[in-house]
Amino acid sequence: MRTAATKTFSFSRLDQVWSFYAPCTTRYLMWAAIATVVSYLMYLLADKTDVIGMMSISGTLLGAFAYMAPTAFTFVRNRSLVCQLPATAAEQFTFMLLFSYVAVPLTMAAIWLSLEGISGLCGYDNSMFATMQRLYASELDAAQIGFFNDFYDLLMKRARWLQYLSWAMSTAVVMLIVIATEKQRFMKAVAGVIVAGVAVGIVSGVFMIVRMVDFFSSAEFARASEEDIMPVITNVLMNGVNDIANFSLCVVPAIIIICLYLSWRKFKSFQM
Amino acid sequence: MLNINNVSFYYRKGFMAVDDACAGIGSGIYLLLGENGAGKTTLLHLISGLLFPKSGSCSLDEVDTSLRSPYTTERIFFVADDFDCPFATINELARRHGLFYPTFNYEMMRANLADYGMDGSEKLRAMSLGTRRKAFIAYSLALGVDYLLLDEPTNGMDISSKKIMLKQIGRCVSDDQCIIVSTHNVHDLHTMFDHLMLMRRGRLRISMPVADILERAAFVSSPSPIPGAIFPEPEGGRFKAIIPNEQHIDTDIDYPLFYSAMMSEAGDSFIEFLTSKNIQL
Repeated sequence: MRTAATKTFSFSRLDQVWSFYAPCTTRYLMWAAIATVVSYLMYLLADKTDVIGMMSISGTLLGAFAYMAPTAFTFVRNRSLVCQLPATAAEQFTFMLLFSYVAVPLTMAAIWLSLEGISGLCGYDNSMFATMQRLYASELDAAQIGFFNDFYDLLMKRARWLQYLSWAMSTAVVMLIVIATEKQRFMKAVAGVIVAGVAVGIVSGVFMIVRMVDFFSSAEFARASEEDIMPVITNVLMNGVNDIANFSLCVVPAIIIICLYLSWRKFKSFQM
Repeated sequence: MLNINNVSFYYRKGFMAVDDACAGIGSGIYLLLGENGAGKTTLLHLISGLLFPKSGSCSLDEVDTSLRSPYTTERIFFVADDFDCPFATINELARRHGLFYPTFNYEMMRANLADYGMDGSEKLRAMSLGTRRKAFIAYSLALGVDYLLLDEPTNGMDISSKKIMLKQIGRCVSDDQCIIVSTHNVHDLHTMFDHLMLMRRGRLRISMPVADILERAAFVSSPSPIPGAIFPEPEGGRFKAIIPNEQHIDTDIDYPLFYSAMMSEAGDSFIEFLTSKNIQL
């Protein structure tokens, strides 16, 4: 005897949805794990070889695998099977969110921390900041190091949330593209993230330019002597970065909410 | 009961892909006939909730299928002619997708696959289009859904496979289930259908039980022209015709002839003749 399937959220169906998507999600987690290990090795290599670029590549690789997580769902090319799946749109969308925002980053973080733990046991200084500071010290002068330290402090300590938000925004953009488009979804997602990054960069850049133009036309700049101009500029830059951070903390969550809302609407009403 | 209530759909304004379709679909094996571009696939998409009607609604037990609630998606399954499976094998599809269907019968799937000499472990990527299609149909018949919609199921199949598939349809479908087979290839068809639906230029021209058609019309063939025919058609030196079945002759429906009649200029008068005796469209 068949029982009536309910339209309310069901955790047993969520489990079935997990089973349905298991091949693609497991494959993605595997690749993400490999990318984390490679990224960590590159980070170690950067430390050994004093190549700053290697560190950037390591970070980019790590970030890319974290925010490209929704592309795992592009494995179903013809979506008639997904649209017909006897699970509510809410159950399927919840699974996609859990995978993209919880499973992938947690897996990558767990692997990274484990690797740090292992290298720590081997007596290796595993503080990323220390490595970065040492690498930059060989390239920058004392004043710049001071700025770097302040900037790093702002980003990594006071505005750590900004980094998470930036990753969450990229993930939301990828999610929207994966759900809203039909063909070449992976390539479009890559392009979307680049466009979103460039857009954020342009906004920040324009903001900083306006800040600097304001400063150079101000009385403060006119008053400053040649010796103490550097700390004043550093201060202006820091204030600018701080303002961008505050601005981003308001705007980025709004972008995330809009992207996820549009993804949800599109997912619910997708037609073949 | 699945109801199609005044459903209309267009991809672009001014071109109606489905125009004010109305029908009630109960159990049995339905044949959905129509030329290329008549709107058959669109109608099946609308029934299964893959497309949303611009007006009207499709409902299963009064639940709108466009809501895609598990109540309807568990009971209706649409197999597209370009059905794409994200899994490596049919066995994996059964393991990961079949679990959503409480009525899924694994043994039935194995038996259906065995008819084609498969066991479900074959890689789908390595299969030809026709073989993949056979595997999907074998699987979908075993889902045990109330309404199985097959779009052009015989495309890419060899003659013996078509026969096996039609035999499987007859074997796997219980009395309270419904299968809608959509096709434009009337030569593949046999006398297994209980109900006939015909679409032309987006309109569902007729939807009635085959028994009712045969009660009103007889499909006959003769070496000489047949007097009083509603629709005559010469073929290979013989004359085939649809005649009023006033004498209650027991004949089988001749699908190619029926299709020709419907597509001809006499189509409207033939429909009027068939439906004039209080038969609901």
